[in-house]
Amino acid sequence: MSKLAALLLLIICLSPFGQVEALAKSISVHSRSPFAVGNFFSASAAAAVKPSVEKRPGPKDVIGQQLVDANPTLEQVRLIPSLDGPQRKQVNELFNVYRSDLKLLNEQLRPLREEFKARLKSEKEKFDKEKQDRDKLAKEQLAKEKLTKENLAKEKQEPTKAESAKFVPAKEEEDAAIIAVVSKIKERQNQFTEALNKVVSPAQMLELEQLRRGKVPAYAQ
Amino acid sequence: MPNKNKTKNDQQIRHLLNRAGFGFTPEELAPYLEMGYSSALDQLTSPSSTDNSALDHMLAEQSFDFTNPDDIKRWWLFRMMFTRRPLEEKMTLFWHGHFATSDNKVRNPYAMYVQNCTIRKHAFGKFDDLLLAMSKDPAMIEWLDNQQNRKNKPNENYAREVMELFTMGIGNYTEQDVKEGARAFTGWQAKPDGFFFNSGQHDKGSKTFLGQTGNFNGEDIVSILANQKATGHYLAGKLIRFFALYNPSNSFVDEIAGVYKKSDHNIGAMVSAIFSSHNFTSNACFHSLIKSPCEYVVGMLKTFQVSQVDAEVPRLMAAMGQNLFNPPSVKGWDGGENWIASDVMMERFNFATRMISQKFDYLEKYSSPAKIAVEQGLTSAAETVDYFLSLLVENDAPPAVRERLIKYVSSDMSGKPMTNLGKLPEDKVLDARLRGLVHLIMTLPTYQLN
Repeated sequence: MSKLAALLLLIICLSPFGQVEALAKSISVHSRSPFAVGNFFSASAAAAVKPSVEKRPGPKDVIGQQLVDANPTLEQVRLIPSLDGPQRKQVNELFNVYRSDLKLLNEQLRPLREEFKARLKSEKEKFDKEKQDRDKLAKEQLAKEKLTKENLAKEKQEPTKAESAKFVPAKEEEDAAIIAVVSKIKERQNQFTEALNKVVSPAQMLELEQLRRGKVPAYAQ
Repeated sequence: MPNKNKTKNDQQIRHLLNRAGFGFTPEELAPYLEMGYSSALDQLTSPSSTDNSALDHMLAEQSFDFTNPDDIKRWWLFRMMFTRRPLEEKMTLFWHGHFATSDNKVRNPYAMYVQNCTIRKHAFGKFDDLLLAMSKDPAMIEWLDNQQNRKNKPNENYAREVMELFTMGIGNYTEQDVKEGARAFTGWQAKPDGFFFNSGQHDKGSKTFLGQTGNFNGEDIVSILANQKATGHYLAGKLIRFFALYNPSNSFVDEIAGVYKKSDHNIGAMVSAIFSSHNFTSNACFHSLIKSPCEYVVGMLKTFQVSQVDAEVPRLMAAMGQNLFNPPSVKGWDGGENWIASDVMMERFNFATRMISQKFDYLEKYSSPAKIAVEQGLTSAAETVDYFLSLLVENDAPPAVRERLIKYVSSDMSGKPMTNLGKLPEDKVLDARLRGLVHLIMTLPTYQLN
């Protein structure tokens, strides 16, 4: 009887089912849930896996990243409860001028970026065309030279110059005209920050920050 | 037959959790099963008795910007996923659809967020308090133009909707009641710090509203409306259609309307009565509603214990027809069969594909079908199919479907038979097969049901 039991145990341990069970046990020991540890109703702030929220990534291109405006929007500033009438008026005026300045600057920047992209595209096309021509020429040359063994060996060892050349695109963020306008935009953003800080006090900015972080008025708590 | 009774009881608790919340994880389900239906119901309908500090901690660790329209959606989804008070969130969703306010017009995500908090605060209390809070809510004031409701030029928008959509329903008031009601709400305005009573713009004169005469203000109107018999019936019908049945009997609606009156307009008591009713626990109620995108998405995320709210989820839900904080009209979402109209159905299937694809695999807690199979010790195709049918559709699938699914799992991609599931989770073919199995189940008609 005991031999039979030992045999059964051996079969279970060696079987894939046994391995699965062993793995399952190890997983169930190590896995932790953000939903609950032990009892659903007990606090589980210490749960190993912290739930999180994925944010949308910001702009991918360098210019887009450079243009990100750290200033609050007018809609956000308007939320500050303690802003008085004159302050609100000043804030509106500041934003009106700021928005119109930014609009003008962006209108300057947009065609420059479009022009840059078009230029890049045309350069790439020109490069590709030239490369194609060189490749064609090189192939014709090679075909002629293939007559000798030596040249055949050479072909294997050395790629033609046309094949190894690569197109190195110019960078938008290094274009002088674009840099100049981006600098103006950044400068205008900084000026606006200073102007806004003269109208809205640090304490009021803190109020806005608290709202942005989710502070709820007493009546809604 | 104790086992049969237990199975029935377990099924009813699952049914309750699906309707009173957004699905459940195994860990969430276990204590409810232990406590039984009646105690589970008590627990769900008295949310303040459940410690939710874990959610608060988790929320504090996120960097939401409540002035950002996308962030408030993610915040709410996060709450739905990780709250320990599921009915509180479900009630908030119900009232969000009832007092449908859209950020498309309000253009103030922070005000929408505050409205959501206000709804949550009053979701189970006395209806009069909730109605008054909504009447004074800045987002609502903006949404229904009460900011422009002045004594010399009354705006009737809020007065009309408060009767047509929020309390009694159409056919229970006259145009004169709308005009008189609008006068009572004149001067009810909003400022950045909340409600503002502009007494200079309030019409202090006498009004006759629903047969009563006096120098009524907005609070009086709210009180008169909450005390109307029609309001109890209207709310009872809406709550039943949201939580239990699309076509309830008159007697069921009367019963819940009676609870509204007897309980002094207590919403929690009405909801509790719905879930306690034999109408709710009957077989006819099981899988009789169509999942809203919220229920579909959050339920799926919970089933697979996804620990991260993907940035794209709110957009994908909007494509399925439920854009949180942006209901399509003052009537909210029509729901029902509209949730599975042909143009949005494909979005559901795409979301299911996304869920079972490799997209979430990097998440530590995400349970891939293979991982679940290993954890559950599933070793045969039949066991595996039965487990996932139970997990995802409460075994509500015809035998022929089950057989076809078993056949699907039992064969590899070229159709050759596979013997067992012993090589999980390393076997890539088997892994793909299980993902396929789950995807197939999630596209079954019954997976769209609640």
